Amino acid sequence: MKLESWVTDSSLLSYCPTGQDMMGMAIRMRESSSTNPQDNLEWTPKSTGPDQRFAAEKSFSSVLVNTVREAVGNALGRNVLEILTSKGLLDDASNSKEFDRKLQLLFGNGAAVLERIVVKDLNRRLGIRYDSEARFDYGKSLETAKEVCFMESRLK
Amino acid sequence: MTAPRSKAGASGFDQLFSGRAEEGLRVKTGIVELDDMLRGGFMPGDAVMLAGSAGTGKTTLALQYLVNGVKLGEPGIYVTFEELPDQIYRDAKNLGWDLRKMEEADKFRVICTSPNLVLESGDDSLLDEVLRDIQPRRIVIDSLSHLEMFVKKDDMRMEAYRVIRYLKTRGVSSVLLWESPQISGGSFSITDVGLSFLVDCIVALKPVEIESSLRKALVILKMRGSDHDKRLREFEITSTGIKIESTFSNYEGIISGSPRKVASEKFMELFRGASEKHK
Amino acid sequence: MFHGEQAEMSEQEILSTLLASEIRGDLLVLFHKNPGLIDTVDGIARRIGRTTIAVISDVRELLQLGLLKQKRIGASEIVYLDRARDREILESVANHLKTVRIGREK
Repeated sequence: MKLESWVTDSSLLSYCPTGQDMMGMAIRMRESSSTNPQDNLEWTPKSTGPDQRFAAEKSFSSVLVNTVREAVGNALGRNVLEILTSKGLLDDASNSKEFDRKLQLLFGNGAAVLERIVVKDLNRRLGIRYDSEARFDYGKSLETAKEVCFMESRLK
Repeated sequence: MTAPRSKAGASGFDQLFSGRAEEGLRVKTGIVELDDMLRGGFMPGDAVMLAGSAGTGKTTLALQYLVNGVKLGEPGIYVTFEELPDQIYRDAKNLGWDLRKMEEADKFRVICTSPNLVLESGDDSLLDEVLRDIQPRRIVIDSLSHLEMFVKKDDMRMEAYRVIRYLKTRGVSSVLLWESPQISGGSFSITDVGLSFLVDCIVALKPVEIESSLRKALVILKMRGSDHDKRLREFEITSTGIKIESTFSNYEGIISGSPRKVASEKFMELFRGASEKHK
Repeated sequence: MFHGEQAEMSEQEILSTLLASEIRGDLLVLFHKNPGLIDTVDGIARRIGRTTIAVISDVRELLQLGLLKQKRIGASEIVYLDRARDREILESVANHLKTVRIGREK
């Protein structure tokens, strides 16, 4: 079942879902994808071992770096991307505070525009709805994306 | 009014009225087997319709025609009416063709626009603007079917004729994609708006079911002023583009949608089966 | 609609103009991903999921910067990317960013 089919339900969508909300979404997703009438609906998610968590983090980090690369490249071109890479920006992609700090130094108010471009692209890859009217917080957006990524890996 | 001279030296106007171009000036697709089927390639300045249902490889073949043209020193333009054409760059890259690099070298353009803008007439048309940029020798319009959505059915032939005539008078060899719902039955009508007579050549792509698997067939239905291979050939979309395979010599009725083994092949199968039994 | 004027702008000003708003960012991404896009403002707005009213002022700013050009085709006003000017602008942005220090650099 595609992730986006439940994530786009506006009654479910909270821009910054709590852990309880995320668990609820995961259970609904599991229930709706079940085709076995014998399935026990008192389902609990698989517990995540440290190895699995590490692998999921690594996978998300890779997706994020590729997204940042593409987003910045599409907005400002390959030369600018190379310069930003040389300044270590991509290394800090997973550290939202440091990434934001560097972007602010480089682009001032334009940093938020670039961050929105990154989040839009990231959300599109992960099937998360993007709401341009909602108050934007880059760090929280990344956390949401990360949790969706982790949930997907736990449900596999 | 004098038509502008094409880079080939002869004006498109001359080609239109003075007879067919010499055999040696064929527009190669770059796909060896297809060029053989076309006896060297398309005729210069011809309007070629590439017809097929969804997923048959029209876009891949059209891109390959343009990319191979660039390799032969002939700039090309791909005009698309898709909403998000960046997929074309991605799909081409997967086939080993870096369209963005070709654009940087001013050898290629992917033009994305709305069909109604192509249909606008006036002192300066959109196609004028597009052709002025890199002076292409080849152009692909993807697709005439999109144009049909913006005109009344009765006007489609006239509008298609305008576009085709415009490209011919500028000496540009064009490939016009057409999404046909089906090519089957007793009639070989490709479009239900009668565009077949407007074009010089028709290449048809068709999915065929043979022994429970889906295969792809290519046939040249029409080629004005030149001989061409009249047989159906199987083709594949590989990781490097279209590859044309052998003919469907063991089957008949493919175009009609009811393929069956030819009598001689059936007899051979029975014979082989019988001789196996007696061993 | 508007005839582009390329007033003398500093590299910083150019960068600020490019990234002045989310819609401006969407337009940059749209035209960079599809440099051959030629469409009316209505068509462009539709492609980025916005209304014409929402994008018109941002399109005007990019026309003024010279990144976009406009032209009349029949009864329609179309907008398209000026590739040469785009290269110039991005080069000036790159030149500016080279001079900005952010701490740890490779």
